[in-house]
Amino acid sequence: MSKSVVSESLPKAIVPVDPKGSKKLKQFKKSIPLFILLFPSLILLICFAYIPMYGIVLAFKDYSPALGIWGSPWVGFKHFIQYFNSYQFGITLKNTLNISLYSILVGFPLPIALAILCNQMRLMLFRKFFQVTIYLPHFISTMVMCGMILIFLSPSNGLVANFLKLFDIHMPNILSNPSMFSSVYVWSDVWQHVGWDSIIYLAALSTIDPTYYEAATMDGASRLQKIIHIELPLLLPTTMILLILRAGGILSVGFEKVLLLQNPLNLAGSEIISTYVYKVGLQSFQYSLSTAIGLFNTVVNLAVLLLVNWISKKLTNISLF
Amino acid sequence: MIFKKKSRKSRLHKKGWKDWLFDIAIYGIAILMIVLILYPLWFIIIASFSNPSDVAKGNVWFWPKDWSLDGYVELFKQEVIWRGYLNTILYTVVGTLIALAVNIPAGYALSRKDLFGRKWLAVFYIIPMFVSGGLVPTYLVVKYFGLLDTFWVMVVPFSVSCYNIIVARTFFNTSIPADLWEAAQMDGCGTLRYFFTIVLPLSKAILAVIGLWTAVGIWNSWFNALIYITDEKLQPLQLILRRILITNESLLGAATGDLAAELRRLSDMMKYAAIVVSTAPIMCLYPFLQKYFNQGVMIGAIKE
Amino acid sequence: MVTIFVLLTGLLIGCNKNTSEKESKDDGSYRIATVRWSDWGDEFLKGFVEKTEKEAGIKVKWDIYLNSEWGDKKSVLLAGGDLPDAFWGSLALNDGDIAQNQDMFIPLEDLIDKNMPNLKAAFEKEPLLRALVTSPDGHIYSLPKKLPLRPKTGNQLFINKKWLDNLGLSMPDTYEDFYNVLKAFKEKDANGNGDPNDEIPYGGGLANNVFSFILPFGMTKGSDRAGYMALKDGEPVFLPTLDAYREGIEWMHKAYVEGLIDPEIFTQDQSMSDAKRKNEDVALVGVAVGWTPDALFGPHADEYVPLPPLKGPDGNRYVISDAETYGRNEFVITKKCKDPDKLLQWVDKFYTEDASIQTFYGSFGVGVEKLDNGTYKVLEPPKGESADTFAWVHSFRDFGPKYIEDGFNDKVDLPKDSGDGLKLELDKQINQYAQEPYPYVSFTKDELQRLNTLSVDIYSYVESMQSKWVVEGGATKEWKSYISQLKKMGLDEFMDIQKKAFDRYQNTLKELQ
Repeated sequence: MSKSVVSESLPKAIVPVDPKGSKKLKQFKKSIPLFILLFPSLILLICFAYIPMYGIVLAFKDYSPALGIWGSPWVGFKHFIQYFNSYQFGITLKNTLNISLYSILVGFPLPIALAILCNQMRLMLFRKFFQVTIYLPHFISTMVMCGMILIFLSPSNGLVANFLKLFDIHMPNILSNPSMFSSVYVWSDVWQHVGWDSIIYLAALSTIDPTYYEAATMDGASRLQKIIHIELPLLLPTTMILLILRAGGILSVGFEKVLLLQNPLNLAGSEIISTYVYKVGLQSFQYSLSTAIGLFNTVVNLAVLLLVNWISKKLTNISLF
Repeated sequence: MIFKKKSRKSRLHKKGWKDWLFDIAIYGIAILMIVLILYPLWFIIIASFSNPSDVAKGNVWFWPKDWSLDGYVELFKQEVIWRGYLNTILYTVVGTLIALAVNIPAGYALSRKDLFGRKWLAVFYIIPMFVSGGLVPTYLVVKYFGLLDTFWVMVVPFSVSCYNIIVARTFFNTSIPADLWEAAQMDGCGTLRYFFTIVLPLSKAILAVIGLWTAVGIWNSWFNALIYITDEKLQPLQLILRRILITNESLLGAATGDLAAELRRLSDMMKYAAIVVSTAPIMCLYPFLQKYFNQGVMIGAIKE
Repeated sequence: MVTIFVLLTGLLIGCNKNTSEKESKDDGSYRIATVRWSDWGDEFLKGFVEKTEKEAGIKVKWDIYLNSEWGDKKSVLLAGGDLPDAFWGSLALNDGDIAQNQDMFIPLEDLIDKNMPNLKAAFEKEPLLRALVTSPDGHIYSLPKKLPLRPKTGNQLFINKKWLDNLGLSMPDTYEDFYNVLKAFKEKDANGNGDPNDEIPYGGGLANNVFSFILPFGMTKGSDRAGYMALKDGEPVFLPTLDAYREGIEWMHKAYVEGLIDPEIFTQDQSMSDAKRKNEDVALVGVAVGWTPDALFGPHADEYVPLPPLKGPDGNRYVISDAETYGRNEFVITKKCKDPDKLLQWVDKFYTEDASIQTFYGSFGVGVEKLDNGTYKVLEPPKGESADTFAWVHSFRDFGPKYIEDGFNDKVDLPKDSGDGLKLELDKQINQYAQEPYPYVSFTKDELQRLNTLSVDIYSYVESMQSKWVVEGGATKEWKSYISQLKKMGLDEFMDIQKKAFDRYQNTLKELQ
């Protein structure tokens, strides 16, 4: 405080103080301990994430390992054009977006609801048992998960079919229907991951100051009102950040699971970008093409991310950066 | 005073019919969910003990059919599994510690509003989540640093998780009150000391979450091991299991005759046994961490 | 915590300096990479193979990879610059890999001339052998193989004889008979367990289910290599665009509607399909396609017999010929190799009859025995082991350079009730109907790239329409739009490339004869 008094009393011409500059310098100096905290991750990212990014240039070249990355010929947008022109482009893009959006609409709110539900349980023993049960399916490997889906949904002797038989309802072959594919994918994903995904929200809920609840009780709030007015608002930052990040993964639908659930009958609804790239690359070394498609995915993902981030900033004042 | 306390207490303990309804709804939904989730899980366990023919035909409902431990026996016959277990445990423990040491401080630093260049640093940490140079360039970089075929390649280069850092940052922003830092500053506490002595003890919830996420991720990983490790002695459990299962599958492709039948049977049983074997240990981790998600951790801080 | 930071940074700096790479020892040994289906150990490299190395005076270091992981490892291996001296076996590199990376591999034709008398002799005897390894640019980049003990046909349909007897039916002769038999299987209690509804007349098998069913319509699908390309009147055709294909699909749809085909045939996975065929208490499936009955039907295998080729609408009988006898890409040399001459002199040793049979079953005394009169006897595997697996463990089996002359198969004595022997017996019954297989054409790098992209689109469309038409019908109604859609996807360009490659191959063959 004494410093500012001094600088004001001196004529500015004699002491060429640059207020902005010194402020910045001060902030920089003050941040040094923070930089120390950032240091390990910075170094690792530079080495193993940023340096390899030079590989993006392969999307614009005809890569041949014999010639190496720098020796391979430059082809500009050839791979992108090839991809956009392919018959599958529209379908794969549509299917990918379809599955992704469906997945966000359904799969995003449910873990939050689950965490809130769980938090409401007073019987600790039951609550602990519940928590442990719910998160178990997350550990099942994709291979087994898909095998299970095929068995359970089999129209001739699957679990669901036999259940419906009791009511004399003949079960349609869901797995052969292209328009049902996204539902099969999304709901089985929910079943498998809702418990696991709710953990972060549970953790956030656990840090809410209990005095909020006490004050609300004194005001005569019901449990539902407490949820709406305390928990939801306090979960909002976590929710929005996770939503933004999720939006940034919009074109990255899980590859292995879709591949295992695909069959010739549902292909119109199940061929997504990553399975298509896999098939094209399967026969020969289409490294450049897959890099190009990956780059396209990245660009779209980033665009969606920025969009959702902007919306979030406008609506809730929470943003990624 | 006593009067007030009593009425507060009685208000807290009084359960109106609305509350009862609420509870019924909650526990009702919970029980439904437990059944929906438990049944298929139970299915996996009994499938690992049953005749796969029955499993695939949908004959297995509540109890194993043609009870047999063959799936487990076949799996454990492979000595490599034990080595894999050891490796995976090492990778998970060391990897999680390193990841926490790398990611949590970064998350805190980014959460501080007075961080110089905060916006740009945030961008710097977000970009790698979307942009990647691809497998081959990354491989070449790892090779350059001499990390191929070493223990460290599994726990150091990929320990940074931008996603986790952002989540941690959000946590620090919302759960640690700003006045705490100001109070500490007035006491002459520097950033580093503040972080280690005050913030960390209050962050048990986020440490538990990110620790759990990281541990499970490392435990389940196999792809990095596939690409960067050729030495058999360093291979993790999941890679070995995957090899065994897929080996069986492809053996079937090439085999004919009775062995094909036998192999199919074993392969399916092993698939299910493999889940139980590989996930049981890590699943047990969660119950130990549960307490961090259920307590009010903040109470202590304010009083201090 | 602070100590961890220090450790971390120290580690990174330390690792930086630690760029010690495995220097390839310059001791004249060769590094050869080979890919196998499974982890069967390294027995297959001992015995005969070791002996030949000693005779040729070279040392070989083998890198063994698993096929399931090879896809991912391939790219980093080739790009990372850690090239071996050579690759052994066509499982390692396919046409695309070699064409795309041609600069990595050296042309071999002059080296063959200089160092490989056995292979040269084989080329003389069978010009097709040379044609199949000749690239469009005239060079030879890989070595061929000709497998012993291969049938001319391949997968075939098997029918449950017990069911036929139970219902008093005779073996169907024409495709119409076949349809009626399937109908009887469906409506009556064919397996005799009292339930007339649990039979699946035509179930999913171990090869292409659709083409196997519509085979009588002239749908001679070949090996996976040929895809849906086939020869009709000596010209290359794409089977799913023929009228006969449409008629076959309509016929199959009729069968599907009447419940003669497993409703889940397109949606089930391999486990489920196996489970039905290998059902424990009673056989559930009437007809299915596969290699041999025991692999297909498990416990009830002895109820099944081969279904003799049916007479189709055009009066002919057809069989599936997807067994490959010839192949290429069995050995390629990379530019890293320092002394290819010596290496090839060693490889030449594998182009003899002795070598071929030993690298197919196992070394002398292990998998096979040579008798004094010049014939061979395949040995029984130890008790409890399957002949096939035993062969895989002790030899390269399908992969690697091999050559045998016509008539060799008669010199081999092998058990006829299982494995290769059984297949040859089955084959004898039907191979008179086998047609000329689609030739081993080769493509240029650009052609391959185009073909690839077009194929993914075209095959996806063909297969989804195919399954739709079988289940819902509409083949005739939608045929016109189907063909025009295929054209939009580039069918003409696809066929163009195929024709070019075919003509090129025929010309090369002509020149060599």
